[in-house]
Amino acid sequence: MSHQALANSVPVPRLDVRIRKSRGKLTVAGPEHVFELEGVILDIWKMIDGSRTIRDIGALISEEYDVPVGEAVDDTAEALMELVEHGLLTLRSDDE
Amino acid sequence: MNDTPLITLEDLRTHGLLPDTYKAVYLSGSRVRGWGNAASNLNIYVITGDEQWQRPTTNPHPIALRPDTLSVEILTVDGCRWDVEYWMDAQVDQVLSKVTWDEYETGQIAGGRLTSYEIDFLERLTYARAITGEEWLTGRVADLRTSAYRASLVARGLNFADVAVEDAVGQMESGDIESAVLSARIAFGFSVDALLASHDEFGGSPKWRARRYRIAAPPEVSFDEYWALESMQSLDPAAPGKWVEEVVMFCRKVASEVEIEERP
Repeated sequence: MSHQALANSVPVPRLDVRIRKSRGKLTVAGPEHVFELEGVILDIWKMIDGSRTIRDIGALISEEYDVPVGEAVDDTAEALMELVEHGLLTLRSDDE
Repeated sequence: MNDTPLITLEDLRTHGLLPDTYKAVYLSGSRVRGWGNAASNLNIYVITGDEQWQRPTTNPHPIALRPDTLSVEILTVDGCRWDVEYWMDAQVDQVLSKVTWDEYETGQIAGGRLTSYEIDFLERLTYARAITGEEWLTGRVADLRTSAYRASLVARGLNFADVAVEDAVGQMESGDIESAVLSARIAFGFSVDALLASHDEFGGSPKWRARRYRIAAPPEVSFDEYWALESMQSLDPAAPGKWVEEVVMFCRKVASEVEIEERP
């Protein structure tokens, strides 16, 4: 599935994800994998609220970092897909 | 603090509550914080040296220290209940040894060895009023300030909240929604305690949590948002799982905002 095709999905963190903040970074741990988030991916993570779509988050990133919306949505989708693949997020279809 | 009854050493001596030797005697608890009411007890702390206070009237409370009991006297004076705890100085040393930076960095659950007695004791040190032994009290509070006390309580709250969240999620997945609601309540309490500890409001008693929240006024989560969950305003008996999810999101938000401290 292309990133643009994912754009209407809503990223939702696992309910039991463990999070710690230290030295400006977030450590996010699922049952098997641990990620350290900083920079843009950290900003993306913070924008996840259970209702924003990837497109919404990409638009916010576009404003924040002054990059074209399409590029920001692609980058957002790519970053979030990595977290999805490691079980830290699920994607909910916008029309659910 | 104005409603704190005046207790003197002579009052304690009159009631047979004062040892021959002591390092400090101080008041603390809700009355000293100004949160007391007519029914509130008065918490009196007597710090002794090598001798453990023991009388026929003494209630020995089991604690995870050596000696492994805390001597407590309870009596009512002019309608006010006095709770007098006798801590040996060596016991205080042991409590403080549980919140050192070395202990914090061991990788064990930080603050996990602290019992509720010890958490209350340390919290009440921070706003105690000395009757005598001001120097002892000042020194102990200074020890506490340079220890990993705050870091330990923050980590303790976050870790225990995680455990309770895992319980809640597992119970929801198995369809045990009522248990999930109770686990979520536990998670919420630990999470709020961690948030408040990060703002130097300590203590483990849930009954004062709203008071402590008002004082700490953490910018991360408004009082109204906190109170809505604490008082379970949005719990729909027909769909309690949604409230559980709200609590889990609250815990996640707190964990995302509260900085884990490191040794200075």
